[in-house]
Amino acid sequence: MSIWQIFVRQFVTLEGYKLVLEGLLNTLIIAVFGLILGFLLGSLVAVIKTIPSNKKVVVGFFQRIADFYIAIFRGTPMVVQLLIIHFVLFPVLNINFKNIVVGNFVIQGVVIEAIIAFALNSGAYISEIMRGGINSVDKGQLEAGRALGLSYPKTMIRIVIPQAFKNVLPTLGNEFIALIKETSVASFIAVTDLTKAFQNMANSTYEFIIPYVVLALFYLVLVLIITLLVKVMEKKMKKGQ
Amino acid sequence: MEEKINEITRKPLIEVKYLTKKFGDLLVLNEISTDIYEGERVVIVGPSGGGKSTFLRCLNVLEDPTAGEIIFDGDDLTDLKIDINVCRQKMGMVFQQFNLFNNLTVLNNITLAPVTVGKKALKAAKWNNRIMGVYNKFLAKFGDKIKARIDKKIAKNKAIIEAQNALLKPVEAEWANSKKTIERKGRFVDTYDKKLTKKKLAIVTKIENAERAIDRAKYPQPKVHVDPPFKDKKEIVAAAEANAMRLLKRIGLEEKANVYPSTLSGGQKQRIAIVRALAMNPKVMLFDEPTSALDPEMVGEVLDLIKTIADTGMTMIIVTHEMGFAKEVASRVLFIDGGKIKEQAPPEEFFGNPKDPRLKEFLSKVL
Repeated sequence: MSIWQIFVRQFVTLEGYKLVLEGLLNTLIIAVFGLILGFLLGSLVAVIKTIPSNKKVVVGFFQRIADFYIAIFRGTPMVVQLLIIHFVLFPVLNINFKNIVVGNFVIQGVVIEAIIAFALNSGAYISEIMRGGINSVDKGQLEAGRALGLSYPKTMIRIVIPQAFKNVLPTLGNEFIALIKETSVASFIAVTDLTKAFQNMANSTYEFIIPYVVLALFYLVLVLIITLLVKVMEKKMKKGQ
Repeated sequence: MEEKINEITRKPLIEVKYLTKKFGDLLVLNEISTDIYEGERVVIVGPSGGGKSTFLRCLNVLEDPTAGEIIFDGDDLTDLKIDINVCRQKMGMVFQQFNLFNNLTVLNNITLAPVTVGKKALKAAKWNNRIMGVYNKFLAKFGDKIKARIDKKIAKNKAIIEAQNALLKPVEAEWANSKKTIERKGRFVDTYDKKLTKKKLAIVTKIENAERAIDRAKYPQPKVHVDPPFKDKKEIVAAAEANAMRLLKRIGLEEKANVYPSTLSGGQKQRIAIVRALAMNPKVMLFDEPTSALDPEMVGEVLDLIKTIADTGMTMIIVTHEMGFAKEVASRVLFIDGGKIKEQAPPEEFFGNPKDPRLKEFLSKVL
């Protein structure tokens, strides 16, 4: 059999494309939602960590919690976090995620668990990225906002974080690239992600070359698209100010 | 009759009482007291590092004062429990580095604060009108109990003040005795025993806290219906934008409304920063070395704008190194050095007949 014939057999005749589409969708869902939630969480943690601690006990308390959170999620491997969340945390808390049906698509419960795990993980990294970004914004910006009578959260949300976001956009793109590649470990908790889909395909036919090379190409194309998107966004933001 | 009016108008807009600021062990402001009246144009000069910028920044609590009180328009700004944002809305501030918001257009720079305040007021009015009925019923039922509790609180705080005042006197005397004048970096600085300073400030803080608690303890009043000045958010934005365009027109920069600050020159930036502060209709304007970061050719346009604002009768406090400008615009000049107001006088007397030896030395260098 020629390479082309193997390809056609695996993807079309055996309906491998369905599996691949499902895997691609799951990978994208996990990566995109993981990034968005991780960004929100990370920004929140970064803001908490950059509040000047004026001996306020509550602020200090939350800052300790933030430190603890970052230490835990940066200090353990992603796979371990995924396993603990799926096999320890949710069963102990007795939480079960049901499948969500959106039109023709079904988002599995495990996918939601994976989203939560990846959001928590990337949140820890993004919080440090955002903290650097917030610190890179001129202190005068915050002072000017406060001097006009805007509250601290309002000034942060309207003035400081948008500028911090602009400063850290390349690093955030990097984080997203790392995240989308890291989703390949989601199969540890039985999520059919892109890697799992190709693995199944390869295992069912014992033809390994085509699936794994195509898998690598899939990731490569995804990463190239993200790189392009980040570049476009950077250009747009530069024009904006 | 005339006396009475005088008495009312002579109530200070800002009362600064024993304002003290420490950075670590360094006493930057040492018990500064002064009153600033409505319509005054106070110019503050002095050597750098003397505490004049810190003094200005303490006035709107961008720096937390270590001790002392700043009473602005009836509110004690050093009280942590007042809404500092509401008070700051009545104080415009202009910075040395302009600090225009880089991520917003010029127009949005000016409208951000007014729109935010307008929306907040609208929300508060709606909320007030919604809970009015329930609140007033609650007050009618439990009002007496609440009043009794407040009376008790006031009595308790009065007792604290008395007790702490008795403690303060011997400590203060001891503290004053520990004064030493030492030379630091070629300057003579008064220093005091560190432990005693700490002890004294702790007692003073306790007294101030109790006084504030008494000030705050007010009987609850029944709520009344509030009519918000604008009906919805669109109206708020439209009004703020119209006002911003009017102000931009005044400084001749209306064509710059939709550009970002990075494309402007320093002088334009500073004029827009001034207009941004004016858009909140402040009662007082604070200028922190507004021309120090400007190219020499742009200093004039900014000073001219400040002068025209001064002519409208605005109360101003200006920290500057421009002595000529100080002479021209000031109604009173302060000389701050070593954390103290060393001299204050109308400009003619201040520059013509200075008394303090440090001021004489300073003027001989800068004039």
